[in-house]
Parts: sequence; C-alpha cells; structure tokens
Amino acid sequence: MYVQLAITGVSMGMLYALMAMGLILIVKAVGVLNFAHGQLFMLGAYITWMLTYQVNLPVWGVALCGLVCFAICGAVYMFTCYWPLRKSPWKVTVIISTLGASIAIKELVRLIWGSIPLTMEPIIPGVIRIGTAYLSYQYLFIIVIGGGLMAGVYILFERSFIGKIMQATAQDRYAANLVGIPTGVAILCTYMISLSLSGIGGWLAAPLFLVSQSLGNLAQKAFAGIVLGGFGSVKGAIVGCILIGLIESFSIIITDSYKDAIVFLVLILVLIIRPTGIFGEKIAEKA
Amino acid sequence: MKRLLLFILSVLMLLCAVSVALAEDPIYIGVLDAFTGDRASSGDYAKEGADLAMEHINAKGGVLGRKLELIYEDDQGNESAATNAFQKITAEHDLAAVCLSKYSSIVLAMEQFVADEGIPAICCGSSPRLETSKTPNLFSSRRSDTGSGVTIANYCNQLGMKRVAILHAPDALGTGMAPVLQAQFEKLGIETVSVQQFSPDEKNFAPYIAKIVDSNCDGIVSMAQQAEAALIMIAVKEAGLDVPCVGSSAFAQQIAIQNSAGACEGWYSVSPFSPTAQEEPTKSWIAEYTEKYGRKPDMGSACMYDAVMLFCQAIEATNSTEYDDIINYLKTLKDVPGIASTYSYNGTPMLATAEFIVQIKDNASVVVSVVKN
Amino acid sequence: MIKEKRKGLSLTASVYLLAVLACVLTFVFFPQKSVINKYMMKVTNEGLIYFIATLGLCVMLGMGGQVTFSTAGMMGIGAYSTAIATTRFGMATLPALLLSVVLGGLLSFVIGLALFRLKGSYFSFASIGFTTLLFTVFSNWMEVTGGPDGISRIPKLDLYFFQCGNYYDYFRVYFVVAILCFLIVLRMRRTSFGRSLASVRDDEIAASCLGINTYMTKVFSFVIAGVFACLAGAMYALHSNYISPEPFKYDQSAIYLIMVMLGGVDSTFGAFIGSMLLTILPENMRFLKSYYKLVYGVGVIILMVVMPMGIMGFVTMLKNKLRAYFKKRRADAFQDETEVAQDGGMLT
Repeated sequence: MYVQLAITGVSMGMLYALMAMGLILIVKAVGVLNFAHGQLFMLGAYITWMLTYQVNLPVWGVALCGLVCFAICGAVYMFTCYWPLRKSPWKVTVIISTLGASIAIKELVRLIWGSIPLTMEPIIPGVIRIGTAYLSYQYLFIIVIGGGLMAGVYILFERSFIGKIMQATAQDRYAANLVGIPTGVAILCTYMISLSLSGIGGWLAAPLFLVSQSLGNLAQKAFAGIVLGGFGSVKGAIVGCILIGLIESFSIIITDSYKDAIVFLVLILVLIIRPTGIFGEKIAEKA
Repeated sequence: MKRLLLFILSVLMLLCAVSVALAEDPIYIGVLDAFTGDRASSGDYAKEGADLAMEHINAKGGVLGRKLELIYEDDQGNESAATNAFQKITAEHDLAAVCLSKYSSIVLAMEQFVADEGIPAICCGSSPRLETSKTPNLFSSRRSDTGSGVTIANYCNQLGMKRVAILHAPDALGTGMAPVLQAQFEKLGIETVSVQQFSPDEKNFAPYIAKIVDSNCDGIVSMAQQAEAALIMIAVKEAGLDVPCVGSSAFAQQIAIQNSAGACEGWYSVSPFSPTAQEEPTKSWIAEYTEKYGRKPDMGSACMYDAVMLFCQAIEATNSTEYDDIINYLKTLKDVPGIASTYSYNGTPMLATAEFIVQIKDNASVVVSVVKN
Repeated sequence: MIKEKRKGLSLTASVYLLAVLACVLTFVFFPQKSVINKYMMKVTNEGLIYFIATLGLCVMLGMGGQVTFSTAGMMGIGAYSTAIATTRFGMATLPALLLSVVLGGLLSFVIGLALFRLKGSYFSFASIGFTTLLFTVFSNWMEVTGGPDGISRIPKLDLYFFQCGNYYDYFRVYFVVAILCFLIVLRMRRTSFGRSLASVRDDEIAASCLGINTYMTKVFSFVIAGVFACLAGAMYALHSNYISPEPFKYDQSAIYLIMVMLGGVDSTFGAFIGSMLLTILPENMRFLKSYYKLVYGVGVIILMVVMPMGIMGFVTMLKNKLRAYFKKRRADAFQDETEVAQDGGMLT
C-alpha cells in the first residue's frame, strides 16, 4: 500500500506543480495571488474539450489551437483584471478583481457548457502495473509533459534573455522601465505563458477527473504547495506541490475525512516554524 | 351612428370582461431547486422532469379544467438562499403546492418555514432525518436511506460478502447511510473492515482505494453523487480490484455510467429509477424524455415528474387547491404507480415504496430484483 | 479678509443630527408589515448581520491593510458555539451569545499569534487554510456539530426584557447592535490603537521604527475582527434557527471582502453600504435568473477598475471636487473684488 500511496502522491503532486507553475509566474510578475487560477485551469479543460469533441480536431490540432486560445485568454485576463489596477497603492484591489474574475469565469463556463460533468478520453487509456502498484498512463503523461514544461520554464526564466527581462520587470518595475525594458509587453508575455501552462494542465487533468466546474478547487492545493515551498521560488513551488501531494496521500493512513484539514494543518505548522517556506527567499524589505 | 358604435364597443368590452372572468387562472405549483451554483446539474434535470409533467397534464386538459403552471425559483444549492427562495415564492404567488430539491440539508433548513406556511411540499430527498420529521405537510417522493441501507446490506449478504469496505460521500446521504449499513452488517454477521469518508468534490480516489485494497475486503459498498460515483468506479477498476461492488442510486444514473468509461460494468446499485428501465410505462417515458431533451433522464427528473403528478392527482381527486385537502389526500395514498416508484403513505413522510436492485451490464442498468416496503 | 459668519449649525453637526433622526425613525417605523414584508425583513436582518461581520473586516483590511479570509470561519465558530450551547446544553440565548463571543476572541488571539508570524500574501493564504480547517471540522465532527445536516431548532433570541418573536423584533434588536458596533469602530479610528494600525498599513517598517509593536497591533486587529465575526455568527444562528457548515466556507469570506471593497475600503459607513447592497440586490436581481452570478462576477471586476475606492470613495471624490469647485468660485469672486478695489480709482 505504501508504494501505491507514494506513486499516487507524486503523480498528484506533479499535477499540482503544473498548476503552480502558471500561478507562480503571475505572482512573480504582479506580486499578488491570482485567485482565478483554478477557474482558468478549469477553463483550459473546457476549451480543449470543446476543440476535441465539438470542433473535432485531432490531438495536435487541439494542442495548437488550444495554445492560441490560451494566449488570447491570457491577454484578455491581463487587460481586464490587472492592467487598469497596476498603479493602485492598494494591492487588495487586484486580489478582489481576480476573485470577481473567478466567479465570472465559473458562471460563463456553466452557461456555455452546462453543469453536467463531461468526459474526455485519455490520450492513452489504461494503466501500467508494476507488481501490485499501478499508475494510469495519463498520469505518466502529466509527469513527463509537466516535467518538460517545468524545465522549459526554468530555461526560459533563468537562462534566456527574455526571461531576464521578465524577471527584471517582476522585481522592480520602475527600475526596469528606467533601463528601457518594455514592461507592458513583458507582463503580457508572462500572463500568456501562465495561462498556457494552466490550460495545458487542465487538458491533461480532464481525462482523469472529468470536465466539470469543480476542477478549479484543485488550485487550493497548488496554492498550498507554492506557499509551502516558499513564495516566489519556482524550485520551491515544485517541491512544495509534490510534498503536498504526498502528505495528502499518506494522510489516508490516519484519517479519511480530515484529509484536507491535515494538509492545511501541516502547512500552517511549517509556516509558523519557517515563515518563508522551505526554499523561501530571504528577502528583507528595505525601508 | 356614433351611439351605435359606442353601444357595440361597450358590448364587446363586456364580452371580453366576461370571457376573462370565465377563463380561470391557472393552477400554480412551485418548484425550488438549484439552477445556479455547484449543484446546478440537479436543477437542470429537475426542471426537465417537471416541465414534462406540466406538458402531459396540460395536454390532457389541465387540472380541474385549469391550466397547470410551474413557478421556478432558484435555491442556489445553499441553505440560506433556499429559505429566502421559499419565502419569496410563497409570498409572491398563490401556490397550491411546492416541490423541493433532493438535497436533504436544504430541505431540512427550510423545514420550519414549510411547517409555518402549511403548504403541501414534496421533496426528493432521502435522509433519515426527513423520515422522522414531524412536519405534517412535508413529504418525500423517495424511500428513506434507512430502508435503502438495509436493502443494500441484505443484498451484500446475498452476494456472499463477508468483509465489506465502505466508501461514502461527506454529505447527508453518505453520513446517514453508513451507520445504517454497519448496524445491518453486524446483524447479518458481516464484518465491516473499513469505513472511509471522502472530501467534498474529491477527485483523486486512489489513496482511498489503496487503503481498501490493503484491508483485504471481499466487497465494496459506496455512496456518492454522480461525478464522484464515476471516478470511484474508474479508480476501483484501475486498482484491479475484482470484488462485487454495490453503489447508491447515483451509480446507476446516466452521468455516472457515461463518465465511467466502461468501469461501471458489473456494479450493482439500489435505485428507485433506472434510465434504461424496460418496464412500461417507464420505458416510453424515458424514450419521450430522451427525444425531447436530447439526453437520458436522471433519477431527479423522474422524482420531480412524479411529485408534480401526485399533486395534480390530489387536486383532481379532492376538487380543491386548499392546502389541507391536498395534504389529507396524500395521506391516503395507496399503491399509486409512478415513473420512479410506487407511492403509498405509511405513517412517515416518505411516500415511495419500491426500489430496484440493478446491475450495470454493457453500460445499461438491468433490473436484478425489486424491493418493496 | 472677508469672513463669512455661518448662522446656525455647521455642516457636520447638521449631518450628525440628520443621521440620529434617521436612525430613530427607522427604529420606530421601519419594521412593520405595512412598510416591508416578512421576507424582505429577513433579508434586511441578514444584511445587518453581514454588516457586523464586515465591520471587523473593515478594521483589519481598511485600517490594518491585511487581507484575511478568516471572517467566514470565525462566523462559523460563533454560530456553532451558540447553537451547541443552546440546543445541547440548554443555555439561554443571551449568555450563549456572550459565551461564543468570548470564545471567539480567545481563539482569534491564539490563532492571530500564530498567523501573524507570516507577512502579506503568506498571511492571506494561511487564513484561507485556517478557514478551510474550521470548515472541515464543522462538516465532519458529527457528534458535536451534526455534520452536513447541521443543527436545527435553535431557540429565538431572548433578551429578558424583550423576546424576539418574529423578524420585525429581530430587526429592532439587531439594528441597535449594529449601530453600537458602528460607533465602536468609528471611535476606534481615533484612538492611538487606530492610528498605530493605520501606520502599520501604510508602512510597516516605518511604524516599527516609531516604536509600535507591529506584531501585537496586527494580532489585536485580528482579535477585533474575530470578535465581530463571532458576534455576527451568533446572531445568524439565533436568527435562522438552523445552521449547516455551508455558509462558513472560505468562498463566503471572499464575499465579505467584496462587500468591504464595494462600500469603500477606507470607510466605516462603506461597510454598511457594501453589506446591505450585496445582500438586498441579489434578491431583487432574481429576474436575471441564471445570469445573475455572471453579472455579479463581471460587476466586481468593473467595480475594481472604475471605483477601486468603493462607493464611499466615489462620494468622497465627488465631495472634494465640489469643494474645490466652490473654493475656486469664491477665490475668483474674491479676486474680482480685490481687483475692483485696487482699480477702484481707474474705473471711475
């Protein structure tokens, strides 16, 4: 049983990490939590469902069109929820506008596609078995593709020039502007990449969990993973999410109904002991 | 000439007034369900079922010669909005009766107001707390979970299970039925090796199934709503667990079957209504529903349909739309056939008396046996 | 200098007098069957309950600048402790209410000490975790909280000299409580605690340089918010006579935050406007049927873009513009007069 729990934990953790990737990009770019992230993930699932079953595109068509759709959504999302508020001294206005967006997106999806859960077939159905343990192929995809995307994001941000621009914008927008960096474009790119990541995550998760409006609730665990791993650290987010997946899985040994409570209890305890998370950057505020 | 015209005009107006007075107002029945929010799928099915009932009734000439009209109000799937919706609908319309949602916690929240108002109400919930409710005007078109739980346990015994694992939802259905099951298992000498309750909106059932595998059971009983039911069936199949499995009514409904990608094969379920029933009149009702709405009906549609039909029958039989007359008639029900069940009043608010034990074969539920109160 | 002497009351004094008059009139004449029907009275009472909860949030967010999602959780604590005390232990309603408020204060203190080791978004997220934890306990601890079926048959509020029999009675009591809470928060702004909190919001480092214990200040603001939320929860339980875990999810906290922002994050009266609007409007918007929530979500976004300081912020901006306009007019008039006086000789 422990092997199986570990496998499940890691695979769920990778899914959370995929969601967290997009989230952390926006956190780094804007500095506030994007509460609509779960709903954007869900939107990704619905859009790819529509492309697969209503527009009847093959897999590569879905991937291409999906990316275009996500990029457009990213742009729209940025211009409505962030751009008009970028100069406001009250950070809470951005948070509230993302809250409004999450309600609006959820309802929009319900109005267009209905409230009854939809099925999406996995890319390869079935499971692989190693001894008594098993893992469905879809999870393998998530781990592989997710890992690839994470590596891609890392290379983009740490090694490439574009990444450096985006990092500079995130750290100090004023200074970046002074140096001549087109901050508006940089933030737009960040949003588009972030939404693409969560959209792909939704597409991968849909065959496992059914396409329904409650897909967005998975984001709560992704948030927990980010906070656990240390805000603003991409490496920390991945590790944190996998840890959350494992805690969730293994907590079944002690309890069944209080699983969520245990995850959050562990999170709060870790934060009390180490307020900046596991890999948290020790950034002090300057007066 | 002018006077003649005036005279004709006034006669015409008089005729109009008279005809308006003669064409009586329709009879109103209220329907409260979730049309927005997380539980909106329940509302969609309920509305379809109720609309179909309204169509059938009006096609036959209405109730007492008057047209039947349904007033819908959204309870948003949460208790506070539900009580507001109930009070609004009863304050603003002259209702003869009201149909409530299948979520027991919502009905329980409204109970006091329903009692105060005195209006006959039929809900589609099955919680044991509804069974013991003392509100004289509240009924349910379902059997109680206590009865269903005993049925499930007895059937598990019939299937030869000796060590059962229970996996249930955190809602009123799951938490209400689990103790009933355990008590009945104990009476029958069956051991309950594991009882697990999953989180709301749970998506990942692998850990729970892993624990079930570890517990070495020879049978699984599960209570859940449709989406989770599908995911549970998939998880059980993926784990390679090959034991007889019995599920609550949602497991045999269309959403669960469709979304389980074949994993539902072989599952048993205890349900008042099966979307692939072969008996008349249910079969033709399902066909008509599928043609009208483009999808198979859910248990909720059938229960709501029956609720509306029962009210209309009561109004016709008592020739009145007074609350007390309808309530007293409902208390005399005996073996009234409906789509989702046969209805009789047996001293408790639960009116349904029959349930089916079905097994899912080839993505369709086949009736294995019929249980009557 | 031309000084205008104002006769009678100053502007602010007359506004206060009007407000007092309005409150008295509302208290006496509003809660009657002829003025408002039973159902709308219930909705208004709920608006008052949410107002008290948002007052606490106003202190934390408006004055302290901390975004917290703990309001719904603390309301749950207040509601459940009152419900359990009255139904299981047979306590009278008023002592039960006071007990739950005290309990809430203690719990907020302990939790606040733990949570405020975190800063900014970490803290917000930890508050979500806290509320989710509470919700899980409410939904699962069957023996104590009744689980998903909740607790029913909670007795009606009984203030020894006055029994609340129907919603109209509840309104009278809750209206008085709301006014008292409102005055408390208003007064709080002028105390040194209020000023410390505001300085923590504006610049935490500068505040600590001034010798303010920012940690304890934030903890106290959390306690105050918790006490108000608990009180609101207890009032909710006594008013609805049935509680279940559903209203105490962290999603509901988001709605309280929106209420504060709608009214104006800077304004105490804004909390009243925000909570009343967001409670009463949805009931009047039923004609939108299934589009209601979409309109709501989009409305929130538009609100933040167009009026980030809320309704009271908008009103204040209007007031300032009017004042500036009148000042300019007076200055222009003064300018003309002095010019005339100076040129006096030239014109004749």
